[in-house]
Amino acid sequence: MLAAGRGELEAFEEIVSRYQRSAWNTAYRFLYNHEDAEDVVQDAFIRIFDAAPRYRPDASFKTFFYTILIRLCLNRIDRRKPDADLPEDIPGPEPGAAERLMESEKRRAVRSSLAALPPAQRMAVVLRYYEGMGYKEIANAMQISEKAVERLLSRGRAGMRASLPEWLKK
Amino acid sequence: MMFKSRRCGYVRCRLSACIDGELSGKDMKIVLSHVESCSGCRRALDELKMLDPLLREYDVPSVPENLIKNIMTEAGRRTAGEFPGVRDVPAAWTARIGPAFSRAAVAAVLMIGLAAGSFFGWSAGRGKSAPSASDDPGSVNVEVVYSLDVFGAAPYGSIESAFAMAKNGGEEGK
Repeated sequence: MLAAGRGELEAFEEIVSRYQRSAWNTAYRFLYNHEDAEDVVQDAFIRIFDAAPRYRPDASFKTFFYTILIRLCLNRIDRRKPDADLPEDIPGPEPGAAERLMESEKRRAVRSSLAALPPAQRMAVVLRYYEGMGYKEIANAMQISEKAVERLLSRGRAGMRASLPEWLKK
Repeated sequence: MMFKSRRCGYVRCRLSACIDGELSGKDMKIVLSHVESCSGCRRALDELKMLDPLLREYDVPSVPENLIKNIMTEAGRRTAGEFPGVRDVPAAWTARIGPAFSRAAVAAVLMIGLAAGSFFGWSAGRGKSAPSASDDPGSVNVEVVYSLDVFGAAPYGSIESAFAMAKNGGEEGK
């Protein structure tokens, strides 16, 4: 990061290579839209690049990066129209027709229940489940307390559980 | 929600953190020993646990092929100085504020010019009747100080007043 701050593009490219996958996964799972996720991830990396000359390695780079990414995701959600499309379906592996339909419905139900959560709960769930972050890391990245993270996850899980169809709960 | 006991309420609030392994040793012991004896709380814990495998079903598409290329292109442009002095300004902001910034800059220059003209006009127009630090405070003309003649053609302190004064040989208001 310090090298990127000196304008060394190879160093910055190394950072992008290392974090692009997890940034993309987080942004996509939160925004459930390809175009929005791509814009946000690009914007986040460019902001990192712009801030590189001022970067001080006092805190974890991961926390620094996710703080920016999360803020951009939340801003994008705020600007989105209320009736934005539901998550796109991602084709899974190719079992039989009935199984394919069942799997597709299961994925759709999970995506919908996650998308139905309020933004802060959704972000906490995404960071916990998909980025494997602990409460302290999530708290630092979202700039809230650990207790607030615990509440968000508790409510998020309860909310998802409530919105899943009955056949999935068995 | 009605719980069987107060302990149920205490435990239910902590089930999520229990699943995440984020409880203190003491609280973890309380929760685990309670769910062994309370079927309601045990069922609640199992229901939360069943979300784990379901959430894993949420696949995402691959990272877009051009993502890294687009990012590095933009970074390269900034390093090459296509946006001089904006490494501290977010890209999205730069695109948005560029045209607005130039308009704001023109407006700012005009405002500074007007303000400077007013100030010099006011300074030039200060005559015997103007309150000043050297005047006896008791003799300050309240009407001048609090005058609301700004709606007049040449209110006190205005550029017009200063011009009128210069034209009339130093006498305000003629």
